[in-house]
Amino acid sequence: MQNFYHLIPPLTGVIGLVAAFLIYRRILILPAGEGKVAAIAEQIHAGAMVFMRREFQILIPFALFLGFLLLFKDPFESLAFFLGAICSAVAGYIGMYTATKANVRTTVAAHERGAGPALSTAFFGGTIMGLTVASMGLLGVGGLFVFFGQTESDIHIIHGFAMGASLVAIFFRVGGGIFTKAADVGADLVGKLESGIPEDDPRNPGVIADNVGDNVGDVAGMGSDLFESYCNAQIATMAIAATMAAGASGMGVESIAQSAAGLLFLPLVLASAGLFCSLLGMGIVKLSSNMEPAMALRIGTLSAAILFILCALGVVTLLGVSSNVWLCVVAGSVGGIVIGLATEFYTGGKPMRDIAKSSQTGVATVMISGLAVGLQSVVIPLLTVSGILLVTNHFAGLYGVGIAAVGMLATIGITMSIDAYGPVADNAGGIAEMASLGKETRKITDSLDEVGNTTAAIGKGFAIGAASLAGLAIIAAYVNVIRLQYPDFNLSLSNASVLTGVFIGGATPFLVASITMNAVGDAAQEMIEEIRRQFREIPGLLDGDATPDSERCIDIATHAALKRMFLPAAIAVFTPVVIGFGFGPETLGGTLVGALLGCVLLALMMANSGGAWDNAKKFIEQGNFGGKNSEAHRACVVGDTVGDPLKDTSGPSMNILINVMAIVSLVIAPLL
Amino acid sequence: MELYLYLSLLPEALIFSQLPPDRFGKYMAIGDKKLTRGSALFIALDPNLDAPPLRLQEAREKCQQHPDGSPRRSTYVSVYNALANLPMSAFGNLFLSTKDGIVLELSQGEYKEERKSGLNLYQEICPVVPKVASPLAPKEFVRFVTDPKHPVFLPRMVFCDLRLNGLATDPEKSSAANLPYRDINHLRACLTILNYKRDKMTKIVHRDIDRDLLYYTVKDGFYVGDQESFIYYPMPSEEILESKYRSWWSSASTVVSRF
Repeated sequence: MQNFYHLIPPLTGVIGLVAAFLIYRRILILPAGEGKVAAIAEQIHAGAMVFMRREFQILIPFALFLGFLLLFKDPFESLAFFLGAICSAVAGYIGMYTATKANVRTTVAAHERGAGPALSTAFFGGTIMGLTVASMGLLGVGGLFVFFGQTESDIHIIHGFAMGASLVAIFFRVGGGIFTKAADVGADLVGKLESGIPEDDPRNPGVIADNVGDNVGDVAGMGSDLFESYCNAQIATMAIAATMAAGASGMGVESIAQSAAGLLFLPLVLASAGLFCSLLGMGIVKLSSNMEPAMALRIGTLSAAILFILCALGVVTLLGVSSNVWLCVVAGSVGGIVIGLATEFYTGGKPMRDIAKSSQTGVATVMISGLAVGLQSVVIPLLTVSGILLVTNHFAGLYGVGIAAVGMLATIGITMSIDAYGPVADNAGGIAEMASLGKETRKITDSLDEVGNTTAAIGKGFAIGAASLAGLAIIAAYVNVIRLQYPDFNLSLSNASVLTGVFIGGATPFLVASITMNAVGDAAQEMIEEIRRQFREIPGLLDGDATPDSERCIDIATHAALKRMFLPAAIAVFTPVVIGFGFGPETLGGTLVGALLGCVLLALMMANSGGAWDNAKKFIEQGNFGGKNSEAHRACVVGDTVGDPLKDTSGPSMNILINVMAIVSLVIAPLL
Repeated sequence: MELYLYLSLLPEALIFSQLPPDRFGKYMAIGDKKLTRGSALFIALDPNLDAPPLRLQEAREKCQQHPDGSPRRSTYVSVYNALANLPMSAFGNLFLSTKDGIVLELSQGEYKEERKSGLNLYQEICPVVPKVASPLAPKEFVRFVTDPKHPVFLPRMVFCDLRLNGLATDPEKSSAANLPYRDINHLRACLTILNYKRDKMTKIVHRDIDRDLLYYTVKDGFYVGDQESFIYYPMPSEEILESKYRSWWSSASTVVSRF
């Protein structure tokens, strides 16, 4: 009977995938436009798929190498590693495939049927990604749990799944981030370098690559990012439960549950409940599609979160787990909302308007105020995480920390849908613009995009909060696993080895951020050279008589991005290995602590500064402080340009960096 | 090869060319090797025109294609004092070239003399370039500025009106939203002065012209006039620019570049 219950998570995953497939079929029957609209959409879709294929070509050998190494530790863990990588890749692939089908249908819906149907199409285009991420996670982790979750000694096999997911995530996130900004910067610079070509001109061969970038960065990148946080949170919590059962934790199992089995299984059941609540939330968004887009999305998300909290109480009671653990779930869910709201405040509220106001005195003040907003914006999320840590540790020890992360991410089905909605709406606007569908259509897609920008900013804050809690849970699991071998193991600040690790770990995110930012500049340079070559060598291109070779630009951006994502990925994977085997588990523990703090601080600061600069520019474009083309606008455009690689490339890389470092550490922990 | 005569307004010059207007506009804006960039405005004239004391015939003969067969891009007749010496009856269409070299053609239109309440902001384009606030409507304004009875006057002038939105009627309190002018408070002060001093007909707001911003801020159109003649080149509405002249409008309205 118990084994039957263990089938619930993978079966829920299957239900989620079926729901995603049904939504996909409904989207596919919507009109996809004709002529220029269809041609542009096809170019974007094909470009995104080219990027994916090329990315896999680099990713697969690296994954095979790591999987081969894991084979020596445990063949089943190696198998789990490949399964994690495949699930993450499939989730990203399906999400991006459908997003690039939904974008053009959103454009056509806006053009032919108005705002309501356009919102519905864009949102449900995003839901496929949300449902796929959650379902593949449940299918993978839940499936492995059926086979290896019966005994505490086998649970480490599932760690391999997390490592596989993290590996794909760092490639997708960093590669996608470099691609999207390289294409964006390259395409925009052409307007400056090639007179006669305004920015976003369809003659510009880089414009399609720019639109492809929105998908590879914000759909596949964000999806794999949240997928690995989602799976890692569950796996880390299971690891903590397993070590609690083995007596490595200060707190015994009996203090919070009737049995260790309940604690091991709880993260998966919560995630399953979260997926059902997400489906209900999606239905609520559909019913509210005649409302303001922002309101409809907000109602759907909050409804799903409230339903989940209520369901979680039932789940906790059913599994014979203390209601204290439920309070940890509540802390995680509420914490996620607080972090999201704080992000919204800093990127769309008074601090953002203050940046816009400062633009009246020039670029320097915009830069200063934007940096100040970013620096300040880390306080509330960090205090929230601290609060969650204190509360959950009080109620359920380190297990509570993990379960809070699970609670925060349980409704990923709908939160990820709203994240993916942003780039779909953005692309829809791009297609409307390039196909000259008129001001009315553009007005609708702009209003959808505006909401998408806010949801994207909130999504980034949420992703960072989730990654920090998941990272924290993995570090806690790492400590417990080490304690199984060295019962006196402690990360004491009076220990020089630990402190050394803290400093090394603190420096790592800065190094990776620097590498990814420079990568954008270098990759953009290659794009520019290609675009200039095409203008030189393709007769009639400047006069609009010839078609640009957009595929070549996509290829260049892909190649440039993939070449440059390897080093950050290698740093993330091999730093823990070198530190762990070279300096020992204490220094590695310190490294993880330093890296966690560095990554969270940098990620929040970069995402929120960039988001606030972006929105300040948009605020001015609405007419404030002179509106478009004013001196204030000029100043804010500089802020937005500086903020672009911060928020879309380097910032998001930080989430994955800490989780990859932590999960690799957890995997190698028994060998140290 | 066909010969064209253009009156360049920014800077003032009279030029023969073998380039048709769209190519001439691109040449004026971005040059031959795309190493320069800057908007250009010019009026097409009858190439057979004779207007002493300008030495048109001499330049006309000089404007021959190059030995390699390529067209002669420009043969200058005059680099100053051209506008005042040309008969306005010879004026054809006005061409607006953006900083990227994309050209919009404006035909002459009927000017409806209607008295609108509120103040106006004019950008003088040729022969001088101040930005001037005035309570006078365009035709009255050009008559006032070219009136020889005034101690300082111009013989003839090309100018356009600029958007003021609510500031036209309430310069002190109205929102300055979507008015991308520098020193908006100074503009408010200038307009307020005109509001209170009813006998004052002009007030200089700025002594220079922001060429990049010009097309984006034009309200009704461009005007050429003196004491006797008046030509109006109506500017298409934003909706028409957006739908019919998309690439021109995209270039004209993207003043601020990210790089």
